[in-house]
Amino acid sequence: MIVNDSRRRFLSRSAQLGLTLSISSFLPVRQSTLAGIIEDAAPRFDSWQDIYRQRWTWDKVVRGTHVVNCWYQNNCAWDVYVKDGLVLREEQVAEYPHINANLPDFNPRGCQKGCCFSDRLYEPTRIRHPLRRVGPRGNGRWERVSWEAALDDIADRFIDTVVEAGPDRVIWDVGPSADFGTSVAAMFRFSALTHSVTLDMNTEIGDTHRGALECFGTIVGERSLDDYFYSDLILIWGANPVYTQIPNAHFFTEARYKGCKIVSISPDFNASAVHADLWIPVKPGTDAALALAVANLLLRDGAIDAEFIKEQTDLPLLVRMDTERFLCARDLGLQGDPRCPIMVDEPTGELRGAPWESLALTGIAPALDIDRKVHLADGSVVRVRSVCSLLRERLDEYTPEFAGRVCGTSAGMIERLAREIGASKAMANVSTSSLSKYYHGNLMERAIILLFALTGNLGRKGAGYSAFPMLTLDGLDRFGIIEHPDQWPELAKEFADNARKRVANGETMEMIAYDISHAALHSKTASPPVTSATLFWAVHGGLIDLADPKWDPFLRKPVRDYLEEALASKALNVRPAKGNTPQIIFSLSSNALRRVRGSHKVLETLWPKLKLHVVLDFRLNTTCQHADYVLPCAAHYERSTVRVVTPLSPFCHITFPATAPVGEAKPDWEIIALLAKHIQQRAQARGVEAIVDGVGNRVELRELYDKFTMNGSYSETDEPRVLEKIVELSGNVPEGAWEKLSEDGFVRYSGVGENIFSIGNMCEIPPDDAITHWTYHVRDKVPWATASRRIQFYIDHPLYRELDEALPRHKDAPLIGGDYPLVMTGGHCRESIHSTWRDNQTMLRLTRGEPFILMSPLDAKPRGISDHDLVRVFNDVGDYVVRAKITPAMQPGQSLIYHAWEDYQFKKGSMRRVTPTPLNPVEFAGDYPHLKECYLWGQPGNFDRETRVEIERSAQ
Amino acid sequence: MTVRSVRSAARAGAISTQYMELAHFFRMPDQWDGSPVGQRADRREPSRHVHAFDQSISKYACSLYEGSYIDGARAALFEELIRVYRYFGLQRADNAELPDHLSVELEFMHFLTYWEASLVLRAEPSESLCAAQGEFLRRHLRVVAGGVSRSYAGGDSGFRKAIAELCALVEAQTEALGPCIGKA
Repeated sequence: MIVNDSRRRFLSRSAQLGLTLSISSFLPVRQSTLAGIIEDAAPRFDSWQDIYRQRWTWDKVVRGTHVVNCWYQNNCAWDVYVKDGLVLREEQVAEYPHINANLPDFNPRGCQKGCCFSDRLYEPTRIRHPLRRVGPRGNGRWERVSWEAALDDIADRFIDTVVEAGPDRVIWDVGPSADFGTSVAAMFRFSALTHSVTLDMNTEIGDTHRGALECFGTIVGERSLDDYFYSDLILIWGANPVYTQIPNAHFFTEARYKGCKIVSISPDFNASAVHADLWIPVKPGTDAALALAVANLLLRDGAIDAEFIKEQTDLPLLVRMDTERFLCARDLGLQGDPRCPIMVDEPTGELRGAPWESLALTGIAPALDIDRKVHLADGSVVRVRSVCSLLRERLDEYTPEFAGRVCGTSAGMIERLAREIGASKAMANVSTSSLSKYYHGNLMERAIILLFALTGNLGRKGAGYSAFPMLTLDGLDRFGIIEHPDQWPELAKEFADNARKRVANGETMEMIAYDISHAALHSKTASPPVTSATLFWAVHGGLIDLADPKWDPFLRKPVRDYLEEALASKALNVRPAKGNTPQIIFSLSSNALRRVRGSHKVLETLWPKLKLHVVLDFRLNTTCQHADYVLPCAAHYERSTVRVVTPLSPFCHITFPATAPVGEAKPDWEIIALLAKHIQQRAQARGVEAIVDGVGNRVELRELYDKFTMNGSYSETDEPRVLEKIVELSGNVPEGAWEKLSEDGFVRYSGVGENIFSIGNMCEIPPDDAITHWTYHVRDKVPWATASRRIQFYIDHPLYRELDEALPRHKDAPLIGGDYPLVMTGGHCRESIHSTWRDNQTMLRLTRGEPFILMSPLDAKPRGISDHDLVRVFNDVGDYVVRAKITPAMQPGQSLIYHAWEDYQFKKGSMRRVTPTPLNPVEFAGDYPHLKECYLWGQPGNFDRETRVEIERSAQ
Repeated sequence: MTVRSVRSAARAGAISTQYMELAHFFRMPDQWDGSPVGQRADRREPSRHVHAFDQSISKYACSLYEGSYIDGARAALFEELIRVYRYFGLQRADNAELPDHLSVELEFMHFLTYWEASLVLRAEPSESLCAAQGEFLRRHLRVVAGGVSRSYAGGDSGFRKAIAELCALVEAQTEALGPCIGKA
């Protein structure tokens, strides 16, 4: 803007002096032109104090939240203060309702990361323009390009790939920061319309909860935090919530005020152990032995809830000793469902089918300890034993003295833990996915769950095992997947009719949901098609080659052979099929090369084969650095969306755009819609016909944008309306939710909903009380979604029998990485949510400012390592260089590196260089009814917690 | 009544032009709007400019944001800058660079010196604007100019020359206008 003074005299003189005013960064506040300002006298200004008093003024305050993967903490409501189109600060909103006078409330919520996101928003490293790489991938050279140029090129390459190789060669790498809001809705729609493949990364990130799946048939199940107020014993087992769950931690303190005891069980004397009533140290990876010893003592002392065990668990069920399979109705020729397992009615001694459509023990009193012979329908006689009988025999091995030697915990301490648990009337645990990141994490989790089942501490107020917490709007899939959301009422009716028929045949809504979920991973016509990220990286990224078959002595053949068999038998499925090389990856809310253990192998194996890698992000993270295009995304406070939460804090939060995105950044919805538009335009220009893939899926690229936007109903600029529609379609928020969300930024969920992600909580969300999960099973006797329809501790699958895991047990950790003396463990960090804040200067100032590994002084001293030395961490797989932080909080033999450092923050390598994350073949049993692959679970996991390493002073 | 000015309109105008040209020079390519930009900017390649000064794509880039060279919270810096700009009647334009960007701070100084020249030509008091310039130089522009001078590690002679000119101007003006602070 060029403005000349209107005064004739000034104009004349200024022209003589050659004066020009050229301003583009500013507009006048009051006057219509800049000249208007200059025509006035200058305001009196003496020094900076003259304007200080205007400090606390704002243009507007907008409700917002952070759409990041806090998971256990999700979400917190914030007031976002805006001045001159910039977010200058944020402040916690402490307006959560106090729903019950006898329970603590949720105020305030927030953490130091949220408090400084406005700082992150405007960091010099924020990506503000589409970037295209210059030269080879990963060389760090970029050029800015226009959106038009970038999207046209991406569209052409997309079309080429889909036409020449098929739609399943296009992959959506969706990370854990995926919002389950407008971003995922866009990705779902695009993926469904093009049959491009979505990676499900839940087990790849290590949130497998395989033990919970084995026992409960789901991994989803969580209380609300105020339910802890009903507990008298909380086990913080393998977690560190005081360190990592900042807005949640006060509930533990408040529970203690009511007399609740807190027991912390962990290898390190961590921030949560400090505040516990009792800390029980265990060697890393030995938790199963500890839990089984406690279980042994509980059974010995009769400190069990026999009625609960008989009704809810598989302990009364009979197992054939000839086949080691459950004895079932089919074997005996009984009427009813042939799969129905058999138990013995104690008063009569008769063999009876276990209650099948309800857990209620109507007319039957199951016996627990059975070892007898039975006559089968074919006339043969076989020996059968109850699971309880088998379990007792197994637990006999786990004396406190034996477990003490394994765990490094004294027998006396184990006895004390058993007494505490046995005396508890309402025992709870703290959800953690840490144990899932151990190779034998399934065994550890099953053993811990056994303690809750034996004592009947499930599905009651204050009592319950927390597995994987998840709660989301069920309107997402209704918007994202179906052709048009207006069709939902009709589809809902059709779905309900079908569901009613299945329920009439003895199935539960939960089981039906999991069948739908399974189809997303296994059906050839799934829309959108989903696949396990673990399998994807293992098969296509070469990760399977990092593991040494000798590490796990229980394996009878190489892991590769187990995997081949599982894929051939369709127990597992991977898309695209082996041999069909992926060609395009879109990374959305994902930092895969920072996240995936052993990602250097993926980079070496898969990336050279990729024809295109596009990342949508707001900062140039590790993954961006190896991309072809980086598309700048709107960050929180710049977009409209909602984030998945958990029952822990059962409030749905939305974020609204407080400001326009910086630079040329755009919301994910807009970017993906524009991509669809450019593909349609290019397909029309090139005359691309409809494509039909090998299994009959039809992809209409020439109509892609029209279908994506529902003929313009939801165009690229309609992200706020998409959000509103998702809320409107959701049945698990109260009437008028959108209005309340618009005003307050949050609303309390009214139910867990019917979607595949949340239904596993199997409980109500009371408006005036805490959430207690799994009450539908325990209180209402709805069968569990397991093969036996009970909480199941015996898994009669051939792989489990082969690997001796049919029953819970302890196994020594394999020598992952080689025979080295130190165990490298890990954990979520306090100063970042995954990598989102990892290189933020404000957060780095709270720690060492660079990656560090924790070591015991007893390990450091003999190695000549002092605090803050640079050390080299190495094993057979690789090495990296990092600072040493020497702390007596570490056990001798344990080292710990917190989560999510970016590659470029290390002096050399990265923590991922030493983590080969071998697959555990027991997790390939996808052909077992409740272990089938579903969205979020049933897929093999990745493990890094037991990586063996050596540490030495670095020469660098 | 005779109004005494700190310096002549011609002198203030010449400095204003220098600020304007430097503001254009250090503006990022997405902010290049076709305005007269002087000789220096015409010779620049957008990609070279981006690599020299955009930290989102190059870890070797030199930040042009004052916030990179302060110890305190950047939000507080934004808040203060916005307050200063508003005090003198200016608010941030849509899609403008962040308020602590070197080009924005230079443009603000261009505005103040232009206004100063205007007041002198109209024989109106200009001491407040001189005090404001002195204070802004001391508290802000000098910080970012010094930071850029210390941080720029590239070998481009054009950039080096412009940075040297920037520092010379800022130092000279800080010295010249420092005495005006607190005297208006």
